Amino acid sequence: MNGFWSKGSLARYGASRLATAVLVLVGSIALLCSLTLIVPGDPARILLGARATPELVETFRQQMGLNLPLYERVFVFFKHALQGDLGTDVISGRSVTDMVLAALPNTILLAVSAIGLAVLLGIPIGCYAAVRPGSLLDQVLAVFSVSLVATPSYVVAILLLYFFSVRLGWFPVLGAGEPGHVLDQLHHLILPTIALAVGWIGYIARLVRSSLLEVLSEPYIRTARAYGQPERRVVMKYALKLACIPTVAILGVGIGELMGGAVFVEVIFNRPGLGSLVFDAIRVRNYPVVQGCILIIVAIFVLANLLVDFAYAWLDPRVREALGRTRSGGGV
Amino acid sequence: MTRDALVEIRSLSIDFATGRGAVHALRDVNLSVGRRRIVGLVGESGSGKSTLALALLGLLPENTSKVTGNIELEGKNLLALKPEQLEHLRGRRIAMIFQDPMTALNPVFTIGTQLVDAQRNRHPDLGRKELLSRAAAMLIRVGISDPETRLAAYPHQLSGGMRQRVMIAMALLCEPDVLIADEPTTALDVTIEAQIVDLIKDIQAEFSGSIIFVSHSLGLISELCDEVAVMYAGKVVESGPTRGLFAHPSHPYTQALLACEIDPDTEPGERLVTIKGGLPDLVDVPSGCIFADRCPARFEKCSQEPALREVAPGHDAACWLV
Repeated sequence: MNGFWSKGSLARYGASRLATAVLVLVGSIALLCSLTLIVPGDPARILLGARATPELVETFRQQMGLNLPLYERVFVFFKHALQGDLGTDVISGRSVTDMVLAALPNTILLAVSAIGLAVLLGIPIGCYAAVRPGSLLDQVLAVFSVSLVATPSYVVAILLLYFFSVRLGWFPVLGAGEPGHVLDQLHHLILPTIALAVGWIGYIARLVRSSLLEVLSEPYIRTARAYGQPERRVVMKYALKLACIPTVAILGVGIGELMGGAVFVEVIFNRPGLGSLVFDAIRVRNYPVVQGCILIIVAIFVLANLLVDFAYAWLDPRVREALGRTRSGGGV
Repeated sequence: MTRDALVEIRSLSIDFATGRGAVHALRDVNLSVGRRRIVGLVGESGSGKSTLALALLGLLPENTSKVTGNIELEGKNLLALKPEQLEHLRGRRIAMIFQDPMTALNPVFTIGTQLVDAQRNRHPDLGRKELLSRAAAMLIRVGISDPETRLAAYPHQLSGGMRQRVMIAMALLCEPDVLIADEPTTALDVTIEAQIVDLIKDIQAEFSGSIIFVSHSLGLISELCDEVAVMYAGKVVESGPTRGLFAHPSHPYTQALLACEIDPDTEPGERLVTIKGGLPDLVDVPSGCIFADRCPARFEKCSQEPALREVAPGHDAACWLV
């Protein structure tokens, strides 16, 4: 019956997902390394400036591993990464692992609160609009969601910053708040979260609206109504669970976009985090830091998609069964 | 038909709005269902059988543009009820078995949850536990063994026949006064169909309500029903007690339907009987007899619309020839 949650099938599923994850990680780092070949300008020269001696440039190239062939660079990177060493920042000499670990919690906090806000607002708004198609809220949603989805998060971030921090002074302008001071950190978190979430609220609401409308016309919803079930239960229980499935799928894909948005938002609000770390590193061609950050961002993406798969299986018993079955390599 | 009818449908007409104009899906339909009677509704696809069934539940599609006439349940007009009053009747006094058990059950909830929620209107005071044990007992009654496992299962884990049994159990759990079965065997294969028909016959003996059995199969209707109403293009063209109607079909359409039933004596290679032509356009309903276009016995008078006339006691047909 509930084969998927059993130990064996879960382990098999986990193993195959892990294999995919490794492929994705290696692939993305290889791509990144090959980009250093394509992007014009020698990183070592850019870092050291025009007056650096050829000897100095050569030592620097060796430090960054740029003298090695591509496959070897990827290999060496992963060999060290497996030991917890993501390399050394060529400028400050600090460990990339430490830098990434320091930045990671800030980014995760921002991403999770943005997704949370988007889901908490998007789903109810979508439900309301689906139950009352053509209502004022539905029409407002139709107009706003399209414009909000089309507005990049950095534009929203700058506008929010200008109005609420600079003009009104309600929120702090920069930073992530004093470490250890929870309220201050929350205060600093509000505007970045809104900036990152705003497009998603409209997007999720639209998605929930359309899939809910579709589900509501299904025969099994008619069955529920034919048995006198109150409309509230029909919508919130019987229809919403199915309508959430496409929303969850989009969230999985959207994590990548969200991380991209987080980079801008962190840079604009000057929040320490993976986004601003990678942004600064790219600007000065600090490849070890870029590599380390990208590895972690890709890992987050892979992990988020794994969570989405589990959410999928939790919502839909048919998926649960299909996953359990394909991974055990058998038929029905 | 009986005087003290439980359900009395009087000159019911229903239109649907479409891009081409109003589809007159039901026109001036009269039907009465006596207590503890099984009334069959027969006709080809598009004749309005399912529309009639859905109208009884107040579940007409959103593009319904006009409803006139009366649907009375014990003298109370259902069409005049407010939505919440209608909701109160559903699953309590009227229950329905749907056509396709593959899509009529929600794929992401267990059979148990769905059977429990379906009873809530009927037994608002019972808790989930009691409702579940009622459901388990009913599953056994409709021929499903190992009910505990089935209650924990999801619809896709059951076969089509088993799902239809679940739908029947769901309807019976509500102990309705009127049970509507809308082509409950159409989506099933023949062996399963026979089992389901046997099940309905069994239930019928103990069931104290009335049944409206919708089907396109005359064979099934003759096996199960006390009375029959033959529908064609949104109208009842002939109605009466099953035995009399099958012995003396009076409307050419009923005669043609009977001729179409596959005769076991048909020789291989012999042509099956069909009714030539198709249903008339219900947007632009032709005047005169609705069946005239396809009728082998058509004559001048058919350009006027015939009313239902009594052929035998309780047996009416709408044809100029009777």
